[in-house]
Amino acid sequence: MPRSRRIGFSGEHLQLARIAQYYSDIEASVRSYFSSENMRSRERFVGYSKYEVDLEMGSTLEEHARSTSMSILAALEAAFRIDYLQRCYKRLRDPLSRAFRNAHQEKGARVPLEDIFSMWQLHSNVSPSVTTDLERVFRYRHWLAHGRYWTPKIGREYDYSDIYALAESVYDGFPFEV
Amino acid sequence: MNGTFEDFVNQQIAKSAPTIDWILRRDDWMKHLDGFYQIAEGFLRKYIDQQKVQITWATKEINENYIGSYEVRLLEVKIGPVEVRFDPIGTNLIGVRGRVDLRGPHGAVKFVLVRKAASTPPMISVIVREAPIEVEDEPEPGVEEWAWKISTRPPNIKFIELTEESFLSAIMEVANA
Repeated sequence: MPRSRRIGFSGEHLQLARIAQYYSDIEASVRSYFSSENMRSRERFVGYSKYEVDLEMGSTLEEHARSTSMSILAALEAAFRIDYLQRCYKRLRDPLSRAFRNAHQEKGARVPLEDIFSMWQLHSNVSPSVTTDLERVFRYRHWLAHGRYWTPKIGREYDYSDIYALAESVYDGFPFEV
Repeated sequence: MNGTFEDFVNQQIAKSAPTIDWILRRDDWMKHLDGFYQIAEGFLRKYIDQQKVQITWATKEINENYIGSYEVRLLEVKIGPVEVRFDPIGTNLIGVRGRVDLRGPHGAVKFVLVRKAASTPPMISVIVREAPIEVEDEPEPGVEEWAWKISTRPPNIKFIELTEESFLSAIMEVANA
């Protein structure tokens, strides 16, 4: 198997707190835009009932929540992948880093995220419910990212704050190499 | 033997989801939901009796993974021209045992069913092990150890105690900017 090239880190992956700030700012802007206090609302919503304005605002906020959830999950994936690569590059000697190096020799940087979760499960004290939650939210991310054209087998849709809470606890709790 | 198959088997075993009695879980959640509505009605009782606040009930179907479809009650509260609704979301959720969203014209507040002692979402503390071991989830607390709290918005999510004051503030927040 050919040796894979070392990945150069861009440093442009988003920080969680920045995403939360972005979410709140846009949400406040949307609510303000749809409110009767918006000077241009008569022009924009001419012929609408209050119910219809609320419905359209709800739909806009829902889309905003979904796209922000995508950003959070992309940031979370970046955290796991940077840690995976750093453990390989730094040639750390703990069992997790060794398992990562074996995977890297075989699959390089393109190792599936599920494999990274499985190796964490096997070589750390992470509880199975955490890795199960991670797999579920990344299935949701896959559904969002690929156009949502099929009915997902993930039960209920995830909420922005559920995903944020999981991401925050992962960032705080996993000993990621950066 | 390079151990690849053994690694594979170990990984699959490690990935096995813990066994959960989903019917029991749903019934517990519905019982707590009834409890939540009793608390909510209690906090609003004075205003309902004075006919300053009207409440109505609707039903909603929830469809959850492993549980399937079931119906729950949904509480609508009318205060003058403003309407807010308590919308049950489900029980198969991340980090909480159940959730009811209070929605109004100016936003939403989340009521979450969590461990009685919890003041934040569950913390994770992951340590890399020297040797592979099987890790099991902590046993879940008994029914009496869950409590309804209000979840603050990200970042730094906190669970606030559900009191008459925090409940009525939540209604004002979503009803009136």
